[in-house]
Amino acid sequence: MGIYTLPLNNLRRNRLRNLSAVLRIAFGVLILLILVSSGLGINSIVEKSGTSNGKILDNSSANTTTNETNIVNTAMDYLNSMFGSNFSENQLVIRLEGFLVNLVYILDGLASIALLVGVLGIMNTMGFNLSERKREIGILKSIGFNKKQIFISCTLEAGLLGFIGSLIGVILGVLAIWFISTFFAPGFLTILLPLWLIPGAIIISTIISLGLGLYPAWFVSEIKVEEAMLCEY
Amino acid sequence: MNINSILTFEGVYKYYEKGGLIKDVLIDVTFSLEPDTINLINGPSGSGKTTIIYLAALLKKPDAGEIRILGNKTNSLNEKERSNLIREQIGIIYQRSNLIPNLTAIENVMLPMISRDKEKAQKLLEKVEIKDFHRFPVDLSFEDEQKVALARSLVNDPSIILTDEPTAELNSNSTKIFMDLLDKLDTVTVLMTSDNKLLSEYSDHTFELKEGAIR
Repeated sequence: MGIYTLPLNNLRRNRLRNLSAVLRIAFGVLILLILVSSGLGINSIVEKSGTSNGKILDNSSANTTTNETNIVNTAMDYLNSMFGSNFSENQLVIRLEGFLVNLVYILDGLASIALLVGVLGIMNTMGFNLSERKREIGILKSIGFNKKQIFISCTLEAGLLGFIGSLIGVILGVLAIWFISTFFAPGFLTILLPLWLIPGAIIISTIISLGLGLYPAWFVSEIKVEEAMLCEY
Repeated sequence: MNINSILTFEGVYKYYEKGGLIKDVLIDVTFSLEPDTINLINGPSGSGKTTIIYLAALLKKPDAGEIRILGNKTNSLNEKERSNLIREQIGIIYQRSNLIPNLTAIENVMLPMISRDKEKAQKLLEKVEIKDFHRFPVDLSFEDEQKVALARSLVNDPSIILTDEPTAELNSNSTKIFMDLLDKLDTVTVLMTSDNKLLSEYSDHTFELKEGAIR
């Protein structure tokens, strides 16, 4: 047991608090994966259809079935009658494309917010965890560990929480995407989960967690021993 | 300066500032400790005993004067040199709650260990009469907790053991057991503080501290 393996051991303490932090991150990553994958799926449809020239679901396209053409025509008639407009089929499709591209941006934005909200809890969790451990920090300093070692050890603990949370989030996310695409996604829509997104989500969550753990770790590493030793366990 | 001394305080001053008022805690404290001796600093509560331990443990710097360990000046050491010196040459035992709560007795002993020698840690625990190495601090009595802290303080073969009121939480029987263990250490210098005059029977030298000065 060394100072840098202590964080692993510390995960067993304050289990409920740590579990809640891990679950928040996992949920954030889960939402990130679903939203980004949905966005990429929508994007792929737009790109496959030739982008921005009204070719998406265009009934002149060789791949479009009679059934899809009917859906487009029905939707167009409905929208024209509802808004009193007189869009041609091409105009409608161009607007639809624009909407879908914007939707992708919105989904990506929401995904980032979901991840950030999930990971932000780390700072809170680490703040509570470390403030309860001031005496322990005093002992570590008394037996010869310096500020830098204590700072790294505490930051690693935040990173570990982020890593475990994101790992769980990725596993749940992959299962959720498989479930949605198998049972719920309509035929012409796809959810794309690119391989880079899996390590990407884990790495980003872990880095953000490490970053958010910096302040609480710095705060406790600066504590004076005589102050720390006045604290109770 | 005695070059054979393990720890030397040379005209050490320490004061605290609170609410604009300056309070002298230590005034011109000078003493040196010979190798392999047990030294007691005796004095009432608030006389500055704990401050001497923190200064000797290099966890605080004096406002004036010099502290030497093995003849070497310590005031100008940087953070890393200071922590290395603490780890290699100094063992410390506080009055209570010395251990990391989520580590077992042997893990606590091995935590500051430089050599990572598990066998040595086990031998030290046996030496302080701890039989079950895998108990957590919460399952240890006060006496056993202090014994594990003693084993941990010896783990890097330090030159000096500093103990701040080590027996304050122990009953008379446990105090005797703990002090007998300290007495048996023949290759290390011990500096302990206490307001318990009974401990002076174990000490080779006793320093009386009164209002921050050694009398």
